[in-house]
Formats: sequence, C-alpha cells, structure tokens
Amino acid sequence: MRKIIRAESIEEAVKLRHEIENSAYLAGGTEVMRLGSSVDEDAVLIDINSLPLSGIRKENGKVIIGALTTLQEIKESDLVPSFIREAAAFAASLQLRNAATIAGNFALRRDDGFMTAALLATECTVTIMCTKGKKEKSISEYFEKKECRAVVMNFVIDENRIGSIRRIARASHMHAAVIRAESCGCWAYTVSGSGIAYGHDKDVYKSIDFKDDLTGSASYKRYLASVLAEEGESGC
Amino acid sequence: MLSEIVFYVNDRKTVFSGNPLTRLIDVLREDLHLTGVKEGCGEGECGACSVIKDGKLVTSCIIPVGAVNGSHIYTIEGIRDTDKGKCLVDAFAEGGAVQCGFCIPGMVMAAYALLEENPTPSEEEIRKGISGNICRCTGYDLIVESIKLASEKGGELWAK
Repeated sequence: MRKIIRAESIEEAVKLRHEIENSAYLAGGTEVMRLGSSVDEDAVLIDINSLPLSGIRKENGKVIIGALTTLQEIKESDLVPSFIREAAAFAASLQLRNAATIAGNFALRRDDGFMTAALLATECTVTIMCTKGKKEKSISEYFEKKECRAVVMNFVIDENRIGSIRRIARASHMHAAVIRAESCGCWAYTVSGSGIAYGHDKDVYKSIDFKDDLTGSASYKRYLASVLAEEGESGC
Repeated sequence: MLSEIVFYVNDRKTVFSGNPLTRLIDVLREDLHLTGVKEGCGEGECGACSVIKDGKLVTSCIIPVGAVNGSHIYTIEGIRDTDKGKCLVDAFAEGGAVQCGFCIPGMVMAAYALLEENPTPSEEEIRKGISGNICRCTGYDLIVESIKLASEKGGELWAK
C-alpha cells in the first residue's frame, strides 16, 4: 500500500525527501492521479499541503508567487503578468485549476506544460529549500537540475515583465501540440512528446527532436513552432 | 507516517485508513455511498464528480484522498436540503434544466460554488462558472437561465 507522510515544516519535507529514496511531494495531487503519471507507483508521498507556501504578493518591484498557489488563484490575480495568467487558464477546467498548483505544474517538466513555457520565458528566480538551507536560483538553473529534491518555495518575477503565450492543439479540448511563450526576448517552447527548448533565439525550437504522437506529426509540430516563432516580440 | 486520513464530508467526520492514493470519488461513492457524485470522464475534465473542497469547486476523480486530510468536503447530498440547495434544485426544476440528469449534481455544485462567491452573476459569469461541467443534453441555455433564476429567487440567501 502507498504510504503518506505529512510534513510539518519545509525543512522536514526536504529531510524526508532525501532520506526516502523513492519518494515524491504531494500537493494538489492532480499529477499523481493522472493516467501515465511520472510519479512511481510505489513512491512514498510527502504531503506538503499544510506548509505556508501559498499566495501572491508584490515586493520591491517583484511579484512573488508561492509554490502551492493554485492555477485558478493565478488566473484571477491582478498582480501576475497577464501572459502567465493566460497560461494558467490553459488548464482544462475551473475544478482542475482549483486543485493544481503552479510548482506542481512546473516541476514536472512535462513537454506539454503551459506553465513550464510561461515561467521559463520570464527568466524568473526560484526560491528553493535544500538540505543546506534556502537558496535562490535562476529558473533555468533549477530546470536543468533534474535530480534536485528541494522544495520549491516560490517564483520571483519582475512585476513589469510582459510577454505572450500561444497554445496550438488539433482541437480545443486536446492536449497541446505546441506551446510557445515569449517574454522580453526570451523564447520558450514545449512540444508534446518531443521536448522543451528555451533561450534568446526565437529559432531555439530547432534544437528539439520533433516526434510523432497523438497531438500531431513531427513535421506538423515543427511547422507550428516555426509559425509561432515568427510572431512579434513583446518589446520590453 | 500517517495511518489515518481524517476529513469532513458534509460536516461529518470521516476517517480513512486505506491507500492514500485512492481517488476521493471512490471513497465518497463506495465507502460513504454518496452516489450523487457521478463519474464521467475520470480525468477531471467533465465536472460530473464535482464537489466543494474547503470552499473551492474541485473534481473528486483526480484528487487523491491523501490530499484532503483536514479538509471539509461537500457533496450534492450535503447541500440539497439546505435553503440554498433547495433554491438551486427548485430553480433547476422550474427552469427545465434537467434532461438525462447525469451532469446535474456536478452542475448544481458548480452553481452553488459560483453563487457563494458571486450572488448576482452575469450570464457570462455563469457560463464561466459552469465551464468545467459538460452536459450532452441541454445545450446549456436552460441551465444558465436556471442559475440566473436561483440567483434572483434566492436574493439575500446568497449574500449571507
């Protein structure tokens, strides 16, 4: 039977995650219940729902979004840059958005992730808690370190950051084939079944190894990315 | 290690000691016999299994019971006999909003959550409020009109 441990503090959650080899954090829970979830079936779940990691606030020109903030809270917040709110709205339904969290959506690094693309394009900072204490990392540094067992505490975004996000799927209810986010010259692409690419070159999508899947053929997705790359920059 | 998950369903304390990854919908339907919670898509997109968790509308088919420790859950059975619930149910009947009825418990929960937050929603706000609930029969118009009716007839009830 699956086991669950309720962490009483952020430090305890990190400690447990390090001590238990096969473990995963449990927040909104929508990913662990998803068909095809990346969470191992036998993993011990560390419940972080009671930790003080929710909410959105503005501080010294930055918007700080807590890791457990739900996608619906982001969608409704006037503090959050509009293209990130738009990304949150890509989640299938109000009910799903009320449960799914920003960190959960990002930390999975799914290649059809809308929040992944949006946050990578913001070049924001991620505050994490490791065994050695609290650290701030650039989002790209956090993203590349796939073995990190840290608890994400919050995302720190420049309040004036502007940008755009586009999602293309074969039908509105289907998983996206390609998502493209752009903010102040940073481009991020997530391509279903194929990969993620980001950087200051709009053609960075060319580094992705496009593959066929249910959302579309490799050539179709490459074509979509090339069209989205030609759309104008936000001009920060 | 948590051996028990304690939460409240329709104000009654519930203790669950099985697999924490059991879906909330299965605990509600199979263990608590709250069969007003319907299973449609099973992946959080149709809204038939909607319940209110700590004041927010969620789909119980994608929530593991382990994630509701300490939470207050309301299902259609918990609201239908309240003044607000009766107001909604009456409005749905009067407005002819029900055809096959399968989506209706989830639809009523969505309407309840909406009117709790916004007692006088516009048509657009109502459509957004039920945007996570799919109905194959009605075409939605009569449901939208019925929620408007509940808002008007309930009046002060929703402002409380």
